Formats: sequence, C-alpha cells, structure tokens
Amino acid sequence: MNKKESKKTTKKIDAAKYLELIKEALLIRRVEETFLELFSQGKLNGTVHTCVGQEFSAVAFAGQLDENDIIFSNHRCHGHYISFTKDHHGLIAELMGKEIGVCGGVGSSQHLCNKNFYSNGIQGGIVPVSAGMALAKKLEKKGQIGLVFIGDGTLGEGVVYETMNIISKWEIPLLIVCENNYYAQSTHTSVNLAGDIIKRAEAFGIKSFKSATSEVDQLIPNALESIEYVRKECKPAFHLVDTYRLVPHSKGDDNRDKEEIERYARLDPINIFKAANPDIYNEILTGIDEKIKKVVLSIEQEELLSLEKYYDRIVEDEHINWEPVEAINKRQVELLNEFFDDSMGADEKTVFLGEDILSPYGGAFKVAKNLSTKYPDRLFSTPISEAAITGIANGLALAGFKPYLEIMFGDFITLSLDQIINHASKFYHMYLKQVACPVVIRTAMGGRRGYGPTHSQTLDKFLVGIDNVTTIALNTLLNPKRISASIDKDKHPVIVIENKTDYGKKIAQKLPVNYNVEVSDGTYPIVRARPLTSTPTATIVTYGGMVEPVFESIEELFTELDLKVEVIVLTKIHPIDFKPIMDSVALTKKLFIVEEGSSFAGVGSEIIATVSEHKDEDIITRRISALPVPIPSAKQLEEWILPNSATVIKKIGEALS
Amino acid sequence: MSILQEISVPQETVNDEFATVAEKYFENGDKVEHGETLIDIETSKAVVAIEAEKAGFIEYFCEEGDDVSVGDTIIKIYDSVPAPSKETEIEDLTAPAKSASAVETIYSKKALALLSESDIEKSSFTGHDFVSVHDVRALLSPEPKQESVIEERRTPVVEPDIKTDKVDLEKLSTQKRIEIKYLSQVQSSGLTSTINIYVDIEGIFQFVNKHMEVFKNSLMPIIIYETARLLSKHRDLNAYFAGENIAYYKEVNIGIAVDIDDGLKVLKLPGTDNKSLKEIETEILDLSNKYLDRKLTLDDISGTTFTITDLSSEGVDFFVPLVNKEQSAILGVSSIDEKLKRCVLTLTFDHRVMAGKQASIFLGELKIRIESYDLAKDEDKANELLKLRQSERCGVCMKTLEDDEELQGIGLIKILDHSGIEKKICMVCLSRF
Ligand SMILES: Cc1ncc(C[n+]2csc(CCOP(=O)(O)OP(=O)(O)O)c2C)c(N)n1
Repeated sequence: MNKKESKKTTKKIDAAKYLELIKEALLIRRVEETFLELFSQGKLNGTVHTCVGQEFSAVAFAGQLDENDIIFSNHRCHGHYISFTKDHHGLIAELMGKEIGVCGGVGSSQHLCNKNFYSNGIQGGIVPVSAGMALAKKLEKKGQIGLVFIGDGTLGEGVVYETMNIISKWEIPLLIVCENNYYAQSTHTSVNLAGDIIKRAEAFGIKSFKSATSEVDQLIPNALESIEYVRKECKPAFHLVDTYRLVPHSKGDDNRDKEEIERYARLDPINIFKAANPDIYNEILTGIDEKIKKVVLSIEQEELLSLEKYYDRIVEDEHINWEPVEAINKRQVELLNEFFDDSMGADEKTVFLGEDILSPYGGAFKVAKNLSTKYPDRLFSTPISEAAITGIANGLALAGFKPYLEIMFGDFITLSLDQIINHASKFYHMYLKQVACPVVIRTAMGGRRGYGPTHSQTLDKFLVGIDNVTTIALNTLLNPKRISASIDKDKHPVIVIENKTDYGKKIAQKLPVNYNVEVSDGTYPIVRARPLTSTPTATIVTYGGMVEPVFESIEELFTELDLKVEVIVLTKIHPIDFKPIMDSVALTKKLFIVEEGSSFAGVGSEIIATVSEHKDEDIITRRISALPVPIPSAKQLEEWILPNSATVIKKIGEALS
Repeated sequence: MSILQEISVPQETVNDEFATVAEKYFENGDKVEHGETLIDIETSKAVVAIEAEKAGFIEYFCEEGDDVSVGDTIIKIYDSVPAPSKETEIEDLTAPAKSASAVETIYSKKALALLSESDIEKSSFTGHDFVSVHDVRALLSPEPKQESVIEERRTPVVEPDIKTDKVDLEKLSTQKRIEIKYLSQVQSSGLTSTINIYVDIEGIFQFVNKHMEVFKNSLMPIIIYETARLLSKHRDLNAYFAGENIAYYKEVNIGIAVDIDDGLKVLKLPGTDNKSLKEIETEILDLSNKYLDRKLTLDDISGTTFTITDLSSEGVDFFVPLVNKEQSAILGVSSIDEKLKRCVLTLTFDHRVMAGKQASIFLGELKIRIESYDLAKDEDKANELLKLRQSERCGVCMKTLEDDEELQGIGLIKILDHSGIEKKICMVCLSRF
C-alpha cells in the first residue's frame, strides 16, 4: 500500500458515520462466519467464498450507491449484497437453500439477484453485462450508474478489456471496482499479472482511482468521489482497491504463509476497532450474533423450493391451423430492414448493435441500412468485440431494453458463447424468474458464396439445446417480419440464424407444383408442403437455407423414386415443435432431415432421436447434411461439400434401396 | 398505370357482415364505360348492381359465389390494362384445386411404364396430383386387405337405473331393435369413415325430365344407374368384412332406403348393373307401390349388396349415413342447393374393407359420371336442328327437310334461279327439270 497516494485524499469521516460502517462491516463478517459454521455442519449447499478482511470494500462502494443504481458482483459477493440491499435474511435463506431465499436457493452464494443487485460466478463475463446495464441507465437519462466488482485474477479475462474500450468510447457510466487481494484462488498476483493494473485502465482513457481497505479514512471519500465522477461526468472509471482476504478462497484451499495472514490481520479495520474499543465492539457483536442466530433458527424451519415452481415444462400447441403461405414481392433483407426501422420507430427501448452497421455501409448484409441516420442514439456500431457486445446486449435486455445484436458472420458467434450459455441462458432461472433477458442475437450463416472455412459454416448445432434460449432459422417461405414480430415479444433470449444466400431472395416465389404450401398459426410458424390430394409417402424436415434445394428435389423424388414427400420447414429449431413431424411420420414411416451443417450431434440427430422415442414402428431415417470438413473456398469443392437437391435425391434413393 | 376507381362492398343493410358476388359482367382487363353495371352483389335483402363511375380497364378481386365482407375491395378500374399481379399468380398455385380438371397430373416414370403396358387410360387419374406406380397397381388389382381380425365389439347392455317417476318408458318396436342390430354390425367396430363430394347438377334435370316418366326432378335413377356400373369395378364397395376375409359379392343388388309411412325399409333392385335407366325407374315405382300397399316380399328387402339413402326431400344439407350389415359402404344423397346448383353425395365406408383413398376415387368417379348428364348444350343444338328441319322447304313442292327424310330423299340442294336468287330444291323436283 502506497502511503503517498492515500494522503492525497483530504476529506475525513466523522465518528458517528464510522461506527455505522463498522457495524455494517461486522454484520457482513459475522454472517459469513456463520456461513462457514453452517458449511461445516453440512447445512449449506455447494461452496462459499467469503470476503472476511475485505468487508470495507463492500461498505465503501456498494454501501454508498443509490438504490436505483445497478451493481454487478462476482463470486465473492455476500458483502456487496448486504451493503447494497441491507437484506441479510434473504441472503442466509438463499445459502441455506430455502424457497424464501432471495433466489429460492437456486443461485446460492454466487448467483444473487435482488432489485438492482446481481451477481454471477463467471469471471469477466459480468463486466460487459454491467456495462450494458449502465448503458441502459445512460439511455434512460436519470443520472443512475452501474458498478461492477472484479478481482485481480479476473484481469486475465480478455472481455474485460473489450469492455473497457467500449465504455470509454461510448462514455458509459460504469465504475469498475477491482478488489486486489493479491491472490486468485491459490495463485499470487505476481505469477500471472504483467505490468501495471492502473495503467491498463488508463491506456483506454479511463479515469482511475486507487484506495486500500486498511485506510478506511481515505477509502470512503475516495469511493464516493469515484462514484460521483461517474455519475456527474457520465463516464466510466476504474477504482483499484488494495485489500486482503483473511480466510481461505473458499474452504480449505489456503497455502498462504501464516505470518503474511497475521500481518494483514493486524491491519484489518475491524480488528483495529476491536482492540481500541473492546466494550463497544462486544456490545455490537452480541447484538449482531443474536440477530443472526434468530434468523438462522427461523430459516431452518422453511420449505425448499418445489420443482414445479422452478421448472416449466415446455408445452406444444395441440391444435394447429394451417393457411396458405403468402408470396411477397420483396427481398428478405428489405423486409428485415423494414422491420427494424418500424420497431425502432415505434419503441424507444429497441436498440440495435453490431459491427460495421453505420450507414451508408449498413452492415455486411445491409440489414441495418439507414438505421444509423434515423436512430443515431440507439444504434451502436461496435468494435470487433463479439464477447463484449453480446454481454452489453445481455445487460441492456436485463435492464428492460430490447436489444438486437448482429453478429457479422455466424462463425464469429462462438466468441459470444460464454455470454449466451453462462449469462443469457441462465439469468431467468438462476435469479428465480425475477428478471428476464429478452436479448436477440442475429447472425448470417451458410456457404455457397466462396467465403471459405471461417465465413461459411452453418453451426446451428452449437446453438440448439441451450436452456431457455430459442433458436430461429429464417427461410424464404415466410415473411421475416411475421417471425420478427414474435421474436420482438419473446421475453427470453432468441438466436436468429439468417442465411447469406437467402437475403436477396423474395418471399415464397418458388413453390412446388401440385402442392399445398401452408403455414401454421403458432408463435414461430412451421411451413408444411404436402401434395394437393395424394397421401404423402415420405417426410422431409428442413430449415433455413436448405428449403430451396429441398423444394427443387420434390419433383424428381416423385418421378424417379415414386415418393410423394411432405416437407416440413421448421422456423424454431430449438425447442422444436414435434407434432407436425410426428403426424407426418405416422403416415409415411420415412423421415429425412436436410440440414446445411454437418450431421453429427446436430438438429437432425435430435429430431430422429425424439421421433424414435415416440414411435414404436420401424421408420427409415437419414440425415442429409454437409460433409464433416471445414468449408473450402474453391467453388467446385464447396459444392461437393454442401448438400444440394442432387444430394437430397441421391441420399434418399440410397436409404430406400 | 394508375387506379381511377376502387370499389368496395357497400354497406347496404346494416345487419349484413358480408354479401355474395352474384354476377360479374366483365372479364379482367376489359374496357368498361362510365355508368356500365360491373357486378351484382347479393345481400340478405336485395341484389345490388354496382356501376362504373369512371371509364377504364377493370380488374376484379372476387369470384362469382364468393362471400365478400363489407368494405372489401372487389374491383379496381385502371387507366390502362392491368398486368396480372405476381402475388395472385402464386397464390393460385398454392390454392387447393378448384376442380378436378384444374390439376395437371404428374406421373412417375414407373407409373408411366406400367400404364403403357396396361389398358388403363390416363383419364382414370383425372384430378390426381401425383400418380405413382403404386397408384397404378392399386387400380389394376386392388390388394387384398390384410386387416387383423377385430372382435365384434358388443355394447354391453347396461340396464340403466331408470327413475320411472321422472320419465315415461316406451318399449322399442321389434323393427327398431332389428334395425339397431343391423346397423351395429359395422358401426360398432368404430372403424367407419365418411367422405363427401359436391356434385354440380346444372343442366342434369333437362336430361332427367326428358327421359324419366315419373321421377322428374330426381337424381335418384341416374345415381342408382351410375353407382351400379361403378360397383362392378370398385369391388371393395360391393363387399363386406368377414373376420379374416373380405367377402366380395358376385352380384350388384343396390338397396334403396325408403321411409315413408311404414318405417325404414331397404328395397332391393336385383342385378342393378344390368338394368337400363328406364328399367330402374319402373322397378323403383313397383317396389314403392308394394311398400305402400304393404305387399313387399322377403325377397324384395333382402340380399342387397350396397345401399343408397336419399334424404334430399327432407331439406338436409348433408348427413352421415350408417352402413348396413354385411355391406361395406352406403351412399347418402342430400338436398339440392338451388342457389349453388349442387348437392352433396356422402359415402360412409367400412375402413376395415377399404381406405379413404379407394372410397374417394369411387366417389370422384361417380361425381364425374353424374355431371356428364349435363346435356343443356346438346339439347339446345337439337332444338335448333329440329326447327331447321321443320322450316327449310323445297322451293317447288314445299316439302320440309323432315318430310324429305321420311320419303328417303337425299335432302335439299341449293340452286341459284335465273334472277340470281338462292333457292332450295328436293331431288325429285330437280330431276323433273
Ligand atoms: C471464467 C471463470 N474461470 C475460472 C473460474 C474459477 N474461479 C473462481 S474464483 C477464481 C479466482 C478469481 O480470482 P480473483 O478475480 O482475483 O477474485 P478473488 O477470488 O481473489 O476475489 C477462479 C479462477 C470462474 N469462476 N470463472
């Protein structure tokens, strides 16, 4: 700790205020020590990370925010939670796994949510999310800010720097508080951290502050100064807080030098207060302990959360009405652009983010054309930082906005996956349905443009089966506006897969002869193409960019193979509405899935598995898909790799011979 | 091209939500003049004629017979000929086939090969979308059914706990109980299905009324006549489910269900497939008289192989008939919709004997056969010819064409007389010159 720096602060805090702070810090300490005891008694679930020794960081920052500010914390969050919400009861019940816990026992120690307080156990990922929430605050113009706590170890995460760059550029009112306790789990900072922490923030032009929990006199006014800077200037700041954890990282994982721990224990403000004022200390302690004891006793009697309250079974529509598909003499991309124009015009909460989306360029596929000129405040053309912008979109969604994020090429969505899987997907359930995350992530997939291995893949298989995330594949049979209207109303995350070669096509122009092509009336409609009068004898399920190749194969499948196929085109590829597929297969006993990605562990596998689980008869099945190699640029080679109408006919022929 | 006038369905009567397009006076693209009647719209109270307020080129957005809602755009008048819009074209493609002949049948290669070897005409598949080799085979030799034996389900007779203070009990007549037993045989399997088809009757009665002496304005004789002929081809409908077998009748004995005074009876027309239309009419008359005089013999009401039931005089729009015992199907005839000039034929069939497909093919063929009696056009021609034959005369002996035929002449010859006037002359007078 650097004496010279801390002396800069001149404001002192008065005795009464100091006593308040000590009380709060001691409450945090005793609650956490209770956790350690309960843990030893087997009354806690999982693990706990306590902040014993670091309480004053919580008191100084979380304790001094306005209740309408938002705060995002990490795995070591109990102190932050108590200081911000003053709700130790909900916290204890949560860790004891009870229904009355702040998240019904689902989140436990690392995943808390109460009004504007959030925490998550993923290092780094919370930084862009909190930036998104702070951006929401900025857009609402009510002078509220965001604050995020990270540890020194988390400075190893790249997304932290992507976010620093963005918050600085976009002037997002976010205060990053870095609690430097010199250890990441069991590893000393010096092992993994190069250079200087403060300089990292300053390199992005972010104003930085530095304090220490051992110097409460300076820490408290310093913390307030940084909070007020962020609020008044509407700019980000970085506050490095030197501190020390007096107990293990979680439980029994401490190999630190005993002497080192003792040295820091002597600097601990609570210990110093205790030594100086033993009587007052003991009086406060007794009061706190009695309070905690009572709370624990009463919580022990409480119920566990029932499965029904946590898990909602997905129910499929039993009754489907079908109506003819509607041909539209407009290109898919035009309709998408119109949709965004309309919804941004109609709803102030709709925001659009993505790389290179400023006009006149308007995005790699021009979906965002002219939006930046019409809605300059709500269109964010971002740096090349997929992870951070996905996190920011998540944060906006959590804070009540409807963010549409464009990922330029589908292949790049892998960089967003932490945000999709560990954040967007989990928020709703792990925070016990107190909040939802209606983020929409759109991306263009598909080959046939010669873009080569990293710009052509259809990797929808990595985007299905994510809990609580709906995955949509647009096609050229349906007006994308109709699907988008449902997406717009969805309160949960939606991933939209668009197809590069479909953007330029008009809607429902090429339909098979002697077929009824109809669309269902569900939220995410299904298209069914069946012969006008004949009973179908084979079922093809497909989606996205494979619709046209499949339609092109229909006539030959009939003339050559005598197959009267029924084609089912899914829009929602996760979760899948199986009824139309089941009904069709019951008639035809033949099920072929046509997908543009490679088949192993993909959508086709899942459809075939599910249908097999529900049907006793023998069914002929095949997955028709790309070969399992990266997609080559060379045109002819690419054509050989990707499935087309000829592949469909050939593979089905083989399956039946 | 710009729109000069847009016409929507007027709110003629406050109560009507929709009206029906009665008549369109032009074709799309026709030139219309100011004040010309374009369309008749029928509301519940009146027929309203709508006139053009501008001269221009017309496009209709409705068809005759369509129900249109008040406020719907039905006509636009343009300053130049409107190009057919792409959207309508595509919609047409996906719309269900309006009439059987509108569908252009697609044949698989194997189907075509098999067709060329067999004596089946392609016309057997009119109205089909796709004809596969299986479809052709099915027509060549209907596959024997391999239905599993289904135990006749007996409805357990539960004597309900009847409170006689609440209801009056009346015993079922013997006849009713027999009827229930007969109808239960097939229906209790629960495996019957029913299909319907519209038959256009435009012009059919002109034929019927000319050829039938008593059964004027009735479709029954031709329905019986045509059904009988089809039954010898569609054996599944002239058969019944018999445990592990299907029993195919060797004769076609159509039964007609009558229920006038003396309860429901099914009267047999033996060997129906060999009877002429006239014979059928006479037989129905005889049987009906016997029924009314209560002189029916056992033979008159037993041994039918297929039943037709006619509720057309009862004003029903459509009904589901029940299959008689030891039969596999029954045809129901509903009332004629005078406005739409059509009626509904309904076929209930035993799914253990045939599938919906065979039944549909049968019904579809029956429809086509009945509709082919529309002789309106031929009739007009005949009348014209008759007039001609009675009015054209030999300019010399004044005999008519008709007289000439009777005298075995060769007809009339056209000549030019000396003043250059065209005249007709018969062979006899000509040879005298
Ligand atoms: C993305 C991710 N990687 C690894 C972990 C496992 N983990 C939990 S806490 C922790 C150490 C974090 O160190 P630091 O950021 O310094 O915070 P401290 O624990 O010191 O408060 C690690 C590696 C995690 N939770 N998330």
